[in-house]
Amino acid sequence: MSEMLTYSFMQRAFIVGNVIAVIAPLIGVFLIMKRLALIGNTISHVALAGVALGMILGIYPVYMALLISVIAALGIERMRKSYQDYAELSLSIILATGLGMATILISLAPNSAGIMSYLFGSITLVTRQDLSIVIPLGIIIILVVFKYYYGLFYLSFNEEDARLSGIPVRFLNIVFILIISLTIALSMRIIGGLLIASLISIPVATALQLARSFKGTIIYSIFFAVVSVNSGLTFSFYYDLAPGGTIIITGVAILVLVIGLQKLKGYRKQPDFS
Amino acid sequence: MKKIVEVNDLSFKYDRDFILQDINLVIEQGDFMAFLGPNGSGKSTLIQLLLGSLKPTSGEVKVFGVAVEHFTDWGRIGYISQQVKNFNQSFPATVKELITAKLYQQMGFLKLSNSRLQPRIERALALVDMLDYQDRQLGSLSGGQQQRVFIARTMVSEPEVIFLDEPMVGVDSRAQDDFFQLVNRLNNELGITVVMISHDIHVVSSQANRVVCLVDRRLYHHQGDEFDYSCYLEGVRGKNRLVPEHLHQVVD
Ligand SMILES: Nc1ncnc2c1ncn2[C@@H]1O[C@H](COP(=O)(O)OP(=O)(O)O)[C@@H](O)[C@H]1O
Ligand SMILES: [Mg+2]
Repeated sequence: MSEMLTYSFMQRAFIVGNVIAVIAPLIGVFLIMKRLALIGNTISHVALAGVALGMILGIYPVYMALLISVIAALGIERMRKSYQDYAELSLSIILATGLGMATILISLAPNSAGIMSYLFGSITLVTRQDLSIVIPLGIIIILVVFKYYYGLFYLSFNEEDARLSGIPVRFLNIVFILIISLTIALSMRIIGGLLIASLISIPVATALQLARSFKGTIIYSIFFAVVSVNSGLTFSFYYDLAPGGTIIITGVAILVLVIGLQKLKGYRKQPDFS
Repeated sequence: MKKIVEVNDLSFKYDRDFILQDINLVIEQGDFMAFLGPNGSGKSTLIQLLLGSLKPTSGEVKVFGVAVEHFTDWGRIGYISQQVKNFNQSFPATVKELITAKLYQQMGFLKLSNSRLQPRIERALALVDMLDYQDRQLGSLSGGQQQRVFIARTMVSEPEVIFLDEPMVGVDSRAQDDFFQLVNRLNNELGITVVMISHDIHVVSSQANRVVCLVDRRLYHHQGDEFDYSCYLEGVRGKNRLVPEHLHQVVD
């Protein structure tokens, strides 16, 4: 363990990983409760196109991913209003467009090997530049959630009820989708664009097994994400595996374990008729 | 008397056919107004228009003297929609969290709960006798208990008017009695204006001081004491009128 932390790239990976382990499930809880988990997948695929575009244009890919995913997020929010009844369909179309563009741009990119690290995540490639974006933006995202906590809560319960409680629904929806797109773009480096949506949803799914309140769901989600990220990064280091995969598979293993334990508890609670 | 709601020449259609046409309505402070009419006559639509959830095709709605599209002081209005029970039953929120959220406009810079709001939340829960259930998850409560939580949520912002859209459908009759007593108390003792859609003819005739019938896209007004079953019969039978139309003189 301590040997691993003597490498400065591992220190950076752990710092970035833990920031993401907090913000991804934090926004994930609101997203899942709004039943919009697909938005995470959609934005991350569009962000991949941004990464490839950045590589072609010689712009730092994370910046380009941030820009493109923010634009996509605003587009999604608009479409969600116009095609309310077909929200999933419009998301699937944007997802397909993003992935299609990404594939074309990757084939044009000069260094298509480098793109792998953005697809599946990488621990060795986390740079100082990454740190200098992830830490401040991570803090901003956490503050925004605190600032609008009960507004975001109500929005995920029922938008019309929220409006009738004086919550600025349109404004908060835009704020929310912006912080989602920032979270996704920031997470690409270490989790990878193909897997980030899972870090947004799996810890929340695990938390829902245990939590009895909204606040509890958030706390449990973050806890499970932090555990997954730190053990995933450790496995990734010692066995030389892609970190995105080890993090997500650890998360799934925890989910299965928790569901199993809940089932066991359920059996024990059953009255004994024998 | 202060006007709570004022509707001028309002017409509304969802797509092709008008649901409401050239409606005029004034709801005054202290009123207990009941909307009656057959299913599909536009009662829920009318309430949604009054609350700005739907935009009129023509005409205007004012609440507390302000055009509803510019109204912001939502704490003064309470609403329990017909769909209130169609929420995600596994939403992981406690009773207290749900009620706290309604106080969004009363929170400070950070939209988080604080000790200043706590007594108000407890008062609202005590009103419906649900104080012991604060930390229970919403989905773990019975239908009647959930209903009471939604009433507490409506009352926590201390509204001056409450809109209730068939609030007691699907709740057992004891819970209904309790509920109508509560609404009566809110109206009589606290002077809260009540606007209610209900098919319970007994409640409507004994408690409402004004009854509004929706028939054929129009409103017909009655004072509570002059209200008889004619409107109701017309309501339930719709266009197969048993009662001649001349009974409906607008009393405005
Ligand atoms: N969202 C909607 N889109 C189109 N038509 C609607 C919608 N909601 C209600 N309607 C129609 O408007 C009419 C009035 O409905 P509603 O206001 O719910 O009636 P009530 O509450 O009196 O039963 C009905 O014919 C209904 O089918
Ligand atoms: Mg209705």
